[in-house]
Parts: sequence; structure tokens; C-alpha cells
Amino acid sequence: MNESPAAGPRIRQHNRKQRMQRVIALIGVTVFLAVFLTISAAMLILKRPAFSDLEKRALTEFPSFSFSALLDGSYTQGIIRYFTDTAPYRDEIHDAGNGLSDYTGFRLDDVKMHGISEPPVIRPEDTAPPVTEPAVTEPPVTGPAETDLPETGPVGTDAPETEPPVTEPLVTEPPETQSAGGDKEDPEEKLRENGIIVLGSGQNTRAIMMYYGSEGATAAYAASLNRYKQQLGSGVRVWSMIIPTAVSYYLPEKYQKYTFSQKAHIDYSVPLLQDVKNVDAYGALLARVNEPIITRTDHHWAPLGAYYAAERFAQDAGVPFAPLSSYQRVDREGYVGTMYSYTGDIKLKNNPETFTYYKPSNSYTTTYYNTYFQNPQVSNLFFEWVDIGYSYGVFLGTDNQIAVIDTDSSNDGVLLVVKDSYGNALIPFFTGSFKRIIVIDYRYFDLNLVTFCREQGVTDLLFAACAFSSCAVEHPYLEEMRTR
Amino acid sequence: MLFADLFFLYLFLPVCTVLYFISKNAGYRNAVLLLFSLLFYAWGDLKSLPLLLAAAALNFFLARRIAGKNPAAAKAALVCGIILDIGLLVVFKYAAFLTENFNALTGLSLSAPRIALPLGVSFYTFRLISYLLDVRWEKTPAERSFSRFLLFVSLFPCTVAGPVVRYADVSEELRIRQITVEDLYAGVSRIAVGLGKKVILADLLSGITAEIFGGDVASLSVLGCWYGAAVYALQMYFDFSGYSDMAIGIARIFGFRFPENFNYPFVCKTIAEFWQRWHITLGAFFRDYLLYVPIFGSPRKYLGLFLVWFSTGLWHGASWNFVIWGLYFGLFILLENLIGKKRIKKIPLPVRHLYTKLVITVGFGIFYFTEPARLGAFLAGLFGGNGNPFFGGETLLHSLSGNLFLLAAAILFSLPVVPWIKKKLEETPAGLVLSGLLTTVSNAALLVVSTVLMITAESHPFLYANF
Repeated sequence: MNESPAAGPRIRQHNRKQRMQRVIALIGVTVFLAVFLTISAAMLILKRPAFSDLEKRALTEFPSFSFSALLDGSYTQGIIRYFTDTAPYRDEIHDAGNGLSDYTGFRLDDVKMHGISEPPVIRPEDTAPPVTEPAVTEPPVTGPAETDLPETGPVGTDAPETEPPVTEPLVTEPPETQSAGGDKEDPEEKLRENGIIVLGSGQNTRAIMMYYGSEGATAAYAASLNRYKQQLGSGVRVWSMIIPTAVSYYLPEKYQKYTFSQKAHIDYSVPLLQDVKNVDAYGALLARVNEPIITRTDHHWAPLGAYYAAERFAQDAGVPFAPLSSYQRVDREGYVGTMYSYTGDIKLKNNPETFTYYKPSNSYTTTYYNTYFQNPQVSNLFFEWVDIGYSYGVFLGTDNQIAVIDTDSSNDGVLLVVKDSYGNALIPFFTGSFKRIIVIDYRYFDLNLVTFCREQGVTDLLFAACAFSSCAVEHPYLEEMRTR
Repeated sequence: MLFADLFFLYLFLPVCTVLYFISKNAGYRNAVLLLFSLLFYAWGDLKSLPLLLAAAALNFFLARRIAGKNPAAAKAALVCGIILDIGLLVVFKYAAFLTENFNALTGLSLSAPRIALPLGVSFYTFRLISYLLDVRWEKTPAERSFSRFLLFVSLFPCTVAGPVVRYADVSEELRIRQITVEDLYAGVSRIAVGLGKKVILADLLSGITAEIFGGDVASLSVLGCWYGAAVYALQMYFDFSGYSDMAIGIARIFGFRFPENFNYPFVCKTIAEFWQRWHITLGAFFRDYLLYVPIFGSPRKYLGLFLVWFSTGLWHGASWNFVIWGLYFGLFILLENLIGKKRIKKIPLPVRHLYTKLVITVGFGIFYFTEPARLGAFLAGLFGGNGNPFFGGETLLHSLSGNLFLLAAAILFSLPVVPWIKKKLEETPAGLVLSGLLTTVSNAALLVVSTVLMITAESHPFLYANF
């Protein structure tokens, strides 16, 4: 039982090490628990957001209970989704997470590719994915008008001095009746399918969505417009404006192989049009490519690009058109568009842009109707109180209603614009060109469009949608509107 | 519910832990754990909870018969139990696969049953089988308390995706558990490390895999195929070992010491060694309960080997690519057996490392592609069989540069660098303090960064929860 003389110090040393390890463990557990419980408490106590400004969408709601939902697991999974999706300060945390994710490496040539797979295959025409134009996500103006209007933009202040006073604020509630089309596809999902390249630095940072269209879809689009023309006869001029996106102008040569050519599809459509006139928006923008014609951080074009396209249309149509200098320029600083939420690329967030739009100086009145052309409500053409992140939503507010703009134009013609969200930016530039402008979104219209055109005395019917909508998907909307 | 869900981490786990530590009474603590284990299971798959309960009850009853004094009844109970447990897997996991293959062989067109895979069935059936055999072979007595047995079967840290914890591993701890502050420290450290592996490394690596393998595989360059498969191997490692770390850590907090499931598999010098370091508890299960079962007579070594690797592959999924994957590894282990350990050791170390990494990389490529056509294109692409260049495409270049630091971190942490540094540091008292400080800080940092990324990223389920 006798221990060697050296055993005592060894045991003491061992005991001391054990005590030290215990203290370290105690401190380690305490620190971990402090952090862990702080986050737990924050998750439980802090207010959970219901809407994401960053992603421009309503967040997951707490699921409603039912036994069937409990049994199939959707109730419990819904709670988990709710818990994650509505985490307190989730948008700020997303920014932090996106910033962290940027440290995984470095950008070659100032380029980052998001969701783009090798190889750059030119897919067979018939296998092109059904891509839809990404709808403008509803800006948060759908609540009671009282909460939206008075603080930042009293009704009527957006209109020029000559605009008649508006009697009541617009209540942009969701449509009372679901439109025939509805939002059948998740545009964000489709965007990600295409892949996005973020390139450049500083104020030259730009996000570009790859494009996959097809000749089949383009032909279907052209055929549909031809049928409108046949039915409407010679009294109505029918126009096709396929709006190109950033990929047509700003994608460097070495990355061209990852996208289809929008110009090729636009060109493909022209000879297919029968007595339907093509408006060369592509050419109009190409001449101005060094100007801010397309947003850098959003998937839409910029109002300036819309101006040049509208100018081209006015020239072709032979209608009056006001010079840009006659408009009131409004700058919205610090705009970060949808491409940031689609890619999570912090470079876009860190390099916001100025969203510039133009307000016409002539007199006009804007009236909104539901998708059945009922329930008229006079309101503003510009929704200037929308948050900076929704700046593109400044035009017409939402897509899901019919807008009628009566103007003091010297031209007595009636223009009906069938559009997707890209078309919204065109509308202010037509106020000097037509006595009346009717705007419908093809996804939100529940009447027969041919009959409607006749009833409204339409002289010019303009289809204005981006290449994704016109050439990339054979969606049923145009034909549904014509035949219902 | 996943360990990397905010809901689990910041609501379920703290509530369970607080209730657990309210009392030191062993019965109370077991009751809390059982209640939360059943809740955890029901949260993920309520419809399959009765199946879990029934399997537990039947195996409990059969094990008592196996441990009884009547040899004939014991044997019958064992056979019944094994058939029952394997039958569960066959019916719920392989019925559609078997029907489709039967149809393909016979030309019939029997409708394949569409049965949802019950949560964790691959894991808990193996644990039940091991329990019955251990009782039969008298390695462990049959459990007398059904509630304790049910706790063993349903114990939430290991029910969904392992490790394959055997009854003998935890039989004592089911009765009495000592929890020291060192246990808690070890537990929370494993949780933080596991969470970091999963959320920071595996989930970010999964983005690379998706981009590389997401397109037309037949057009990938040679390097693209190798790169995608190598990244996927790393992703799988961090995903699964991260889950195992969290399972071991959570169990440790509650006083259970689960067996290790990973031991830096990429340092292996042979494929046999790789499988001694990868999914250790599954490999041990097959080794102990299948490889040496005396049912093959003299050629059992080779037939046993074939059966083990066929089963290993099939266990991972009802798809031929998994079977090919298992047999692929089995083939290399057979070759290594034929060559012999002594002769393998004479091969230069760099060559052995290169050989194993190449075999493993190809193996995980096989694992990834469940569609035969894509798998074929991938295998051809590895060796330039698709007529593509060795290096090609901007995406590969951008993927490498854009993820350079991530890939470097992944490679670094897949090697035992941290344990080596830790061991060196802890040789002196000052180093011990420094090591403790670094561990404490890194635990907190991993928790915070992981939480940020969990909120930011879309949910990525643990890959092994699918098996």
C-alpha cells in the first residue's frame, strides 16, 4: 500500500487538473446556457413579424387545427414552419446570414452565380420550363386605407396640381372574386429555376436572371394576338410589345451560354404576327443601354426604360407623346429590389440603387375597378407611399384590378393595355397620348376581352409583357380572356 | 422535427430539459423522457406512432419468452421476433421496390403499394433485432419494465436517425444515471459542434452539390463529376456526423452515453478502415449480427461479406443505386482481404490515401444518383466517357472560387485537426485553461452562427432521416 515518493505530487497534480477541468466545465456550461436561454427567451417573448419586407411576402401563419391536419402531419409541420419563418427580427437576421454566407469564398471577375448548373445546355424547345413573369408582389397597401394613406401620402398628393381632387381613398383589398387565372405558379420558384448571375461592384452591381424561352410559346403568343386582331377587325389596332429584361443587355459574352436569347424569340414572333404591329422595345432600349433603363437589384425594368419603349410605341402609333423633360422626376434613394431576396446576395443589399420615376404634368383621373369591371373607386395613379423596397409598386399599386385613366390628351383614342407587371411602368407615359387608357393585367381579368374592347370603344390594343411572360410559357390567360 | 429546427432547439429541448432536471427522482426523469420521446415521434409522424408502440410491445413480450426457460418457445419467439422486425422493414420500406422489380422480372403489372416510410423505422427495427439476439445469446437480460423498454425504443435522441444504440449500451442508464457538470459540458459542446457541422458546413455544401449535379449530368466535365461527388461526400459526412454529434450530446445531457458513430473516416488508409470509422454502429450491427452468423458453412466469409454489403446498401434505401453502392464498397473490401493486410501496408502511404479517397468519392457519387440513367452518365463522366472536356464550364470555376474557404474548412474539419490541437494544448495547465476558453467561445459562436443560418436558409432535413 506504500506509494512511491513521487506519487503524492502526481496525485495532487491530477486532482488539481480535475478541479480545473470542473471549473472550466462549469464556466463552459454557464456561458452556453446563457446564450442558449437568451435565444430561447427571445424566440418566445419577442414579437413575431407577419410580413417580410425583404422577401415581399406574408409570412407563414400559425396553422389552424384540425384532426385531419394533425394526422397527416401538416399541423405539426406547420407549427415548425411558423416558428422558423416568423422568427423575431428575421429580415435583419437574413441580412446577417446572407452576409456570413458571402465569406465562403471570393468572387471571380466580380461575378457570383446563383442556381446555375453546368452545363449551359440549350434545352429542346419543348422541354423549356414553364416560366412565368414574376408578378410584382403586392406591396403592403392591402390593409385598411386609413393606415396607409394619410401618414406618408395624402390622397391626391401624387397627382399633378391639375388632377381632380379624389373623393375617397382607394381600398386595395384583394379581389372580391378570384380571377380566372389567379396566381397559379410561384414566380419566385421559377426565378430560381432560371438562375441568376450577380456581377459588378459598387454602383455597377447588377443581378441578371437567366432566360429560358421557347419558340413554341412564342408562336402560341403570336397566334393568340392574331386571333384578337381577327375578331376585333380593322377598327382596332393591335400591338405586340415584348419587353426584354436585363439579360438582353448586360450579360457578358462569356456567360451568354447560360441563357436563351430574348432577341431571337422576339424576332421569331414578328413574322408570325398577322396585321398585328410589333413595337420594337428591344431596339428602343438597346440604343439607351448606358442609361438606367433596367433596375440593377430588381427583376423589372426601370421607368426610364419604359419611357423609351413607350416613346417607340407612340412613334409607331402616330400619337402625341410628351418629352421626358415635361415630367416631374421623383427619386427614391436606397432601393433594393427583389433580386436580393431571390439570391440572398449581400452585395445587392450593400449597393442599393435610386429608383427614379416620372410623373406626367397633364391632367388625368384614375379609377380602379374589380376584375369584373365593377365597383369603381377614384384614386391615385401613383402609390407614392409604398415602402422603398416596393418602389416598383408605385405604379397602379397592385395588379389585381382594372385601372382606367381619363386624360386631357388631344388624341381621342382609347388605349387598352394588356400587361404583366412590366407594363405598369409604361402607363404614366401614355397619359398625354390617349384620351382614355384602360389597364388590365392578364392574370386578373374575368370578362371576355374582345367584348370588353368593343364596349369600351378601344382603338388601340397593346399587349405589353416581358419576354418571360410572352415567350417562355404557353399560359392560358390570353386565350381564356378571348374565349370566355 | 429535426435537431436543426428552431422549434426543437429553442422550445422542445429547453422545456424537456427544464422539466427533466426539476427532480432527481429516476422514475420521474424517465417519465419525462418517455413523454417527450413519444411527443417528438408523434410530432414528426403521428400516424406511425401506433406502429412504434406495437413493435415495442411485441418485442418486449417476445424477449421475455426468449429469456424464458422453455428452449423451444424461446427459439420460436426469436424467429417470430426477427420475422416481425424484418417484416416491418419489408412492408413499410421495400414493398413498392419489391413489387416494381417483380413486375419488371415477370412482366406483370401489380400495383405497387404506396406506403409512407414510418419515421425512424430503419433504425428502431435494427435496435429491436439487436435486442432480441442479445437476449437470446445472453449478452443482456430481458428488460422487465415495459416503460423502460419503451423508453429505450423511443428515446428521442436516437430514434429518427441513429446511432444504432443497443439495449446493452444503455441498460444500466435506463435505471440510474449520474450527471456531472462535465457531462453537461461534454453534452452542450457536442450539440454545438454537431449543429455547426450540419447548418454551417453540410447545408452550405449542399448548395454546391445541387448546382453541380442539378443540371444535365451527361454534359458535366470530368473534373465536374469528381468535384460534385467529393463535395457530396463531405456534405454527407458533416450532415450525418453532425446529427450523430447532436444525438450523442443531447443524450449526454440526460445522462446517457451513446456509442460513437464517426471517427474521422476520411483519414482511412483502406476501405475496410473507412467503414470502421463511418456509421460505426451500423457497421458493428452487421458485423455482430450478420457477418458471423453461422448460416453459410465454410464459404461463409465471402457469402457473409456479400450479404453484409448487399444489406448495407439496401438498408440505405429501396433503390438499386444503394445496392450497387453497398456492393461496390464490399468489392473493395473483398479485394483488400484477398491482398492481405501485410501486403497493403507495404504500399506507400500516399498511394493508399489516394486510392481510398478516389474509391470513396466515386462511392458517394453512386449514392447520390438514384436514377439509373443519371447514375450511368455520372459513372461515364468520371472517366471522360461522355465526350466532355476534362475541365469545362464557368460554373465549376465560380463554384471553386466562391466556396474556396468553405471547402478548405470542410476538408480541415473532416480531419482530426481539432482533437490534435486540443490534446497538445491540454498537456499544460495554462493550455488546459486556453483550451477550455476556446471551446467555450467556439460553442457560443457556433450556436449563434448556426441559429442565424437556420433562420436564413431554407430547411434542410438531415439526409439520414430519410433512410
